[in-house]
Amino acid sequence: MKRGIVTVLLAALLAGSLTGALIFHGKTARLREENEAAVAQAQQLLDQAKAAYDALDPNSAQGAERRLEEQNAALADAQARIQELQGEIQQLEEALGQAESQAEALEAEGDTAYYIAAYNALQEGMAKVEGYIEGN
Amino acid sequence: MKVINWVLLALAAVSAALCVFFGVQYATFPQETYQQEAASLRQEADQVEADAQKLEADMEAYAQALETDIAQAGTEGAALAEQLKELEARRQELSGALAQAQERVELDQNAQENMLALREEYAGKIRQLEDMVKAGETDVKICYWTLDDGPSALTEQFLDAAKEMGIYLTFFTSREANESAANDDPEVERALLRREIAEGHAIGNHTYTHQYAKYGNVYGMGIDSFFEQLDRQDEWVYECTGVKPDLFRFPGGSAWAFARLPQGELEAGLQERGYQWIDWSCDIYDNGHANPDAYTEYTNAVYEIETMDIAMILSHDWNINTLEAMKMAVPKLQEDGYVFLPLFSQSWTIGNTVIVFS
Repeated sequence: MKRGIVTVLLAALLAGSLTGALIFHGKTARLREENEAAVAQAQQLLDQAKAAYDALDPNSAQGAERRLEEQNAALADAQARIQELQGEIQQLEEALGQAESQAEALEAEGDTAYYIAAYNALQEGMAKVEGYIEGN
Repeated sequence: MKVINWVLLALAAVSAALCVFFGVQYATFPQETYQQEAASLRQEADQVEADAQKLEADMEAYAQALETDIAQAGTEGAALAEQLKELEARRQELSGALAQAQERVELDQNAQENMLALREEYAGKIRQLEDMVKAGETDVKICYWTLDDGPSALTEQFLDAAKEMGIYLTFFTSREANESAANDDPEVERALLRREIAEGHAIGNHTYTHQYAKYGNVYGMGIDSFFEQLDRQDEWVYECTGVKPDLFRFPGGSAWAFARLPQGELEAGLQERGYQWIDWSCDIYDNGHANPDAYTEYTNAVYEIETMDIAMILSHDWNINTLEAMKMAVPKLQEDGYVFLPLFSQSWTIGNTVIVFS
């Protein structure tokens, strides 16, 4: 009977030790896993930040390429603006030619030239009177 | 002891050792180290991210700088910038020129209306100056030099003299009053009237035939005949100049007219036709009978008006002595502070001018 009790106690001790060992091993593994994951995540953030930096750093190939792209886009915009201006200038020149021709044709008519001369003379006279009013 | 117990003991000892081992391992796990490393990595990541944002801002600033000044994009950019500058300047120049040309066209298309509107505005300015003169707010004095009975053979010379002296006159015209050369050629008459308007002078109505013309006494044939003469002159002036006169001077003056025709009817008829009538305040007596010389006319002009701040001279543009007298009188009167302006119906002188007999 005595040997039976010892056997049971030893078996219980074995079971308890094994269980404890397993529990502690599992907990340690989980703890390591969590902490290593946190470090890995922080490293990933760092890597992403570095990648973003490299993409913009003018001293890096990517950054230089992006800068060049911006420059080329601006040059293309300037070219487009030049073409737009050239078009506008052409239209303005045509409109100006038409307006001047129209004015010349009107002024070639005797009555118009006469009324314009009268208008200019009145303007001149009025300027003198305004001068008298202002004390000049 | 039984063998089984020895086995159990051995296993239990091993298990216990493992349990202690793993327990110590768990208790001494370097969690702080891992946390510090993760924090350090995150801190470094934040710093790099901040630097990257700065670079992003620099890149945007560079892009905006290029948009504003493409010359910053190297040699090619500088060339484009120069071209853009030239084109912008040309565009602005053309826009300005086009606006002026369009304004010119608008003025040309509405030349008569614009001229008539400006006459109204000018008349208002002269009235404003007159009010200042009457209120003593200016040292300027005003002289309206009026010439009756034209256009005549001498009218052109009066216009030349006025242009040279920089003065403005008022012509009370009558187509048939003068039988001198200018009257015989309608184109010459028309050109003279147009020149009067085109050079900034004023034109009034003095009836078509005038009192002493070959068609008979303009008052002696009744009021209807009188207004017929007025209307004919009105139409003729408008036909020649595009300007409807609104100032009238009675041939011989209002006293002569009112002595022969009802004043009320005369004034009502004038008002109905949009006219104001005016006499004068100074007569240089160049009208025929006395025929003074130029110097006498000059003294009449200068000394008769010397006390007037707004004066109106009566003269006639068919008299050569008057031309010479005007050339002498104007500079003297200008020295005395007179300016010579055209007369319009808005003038203070309407209803306020009294003939001074010397």
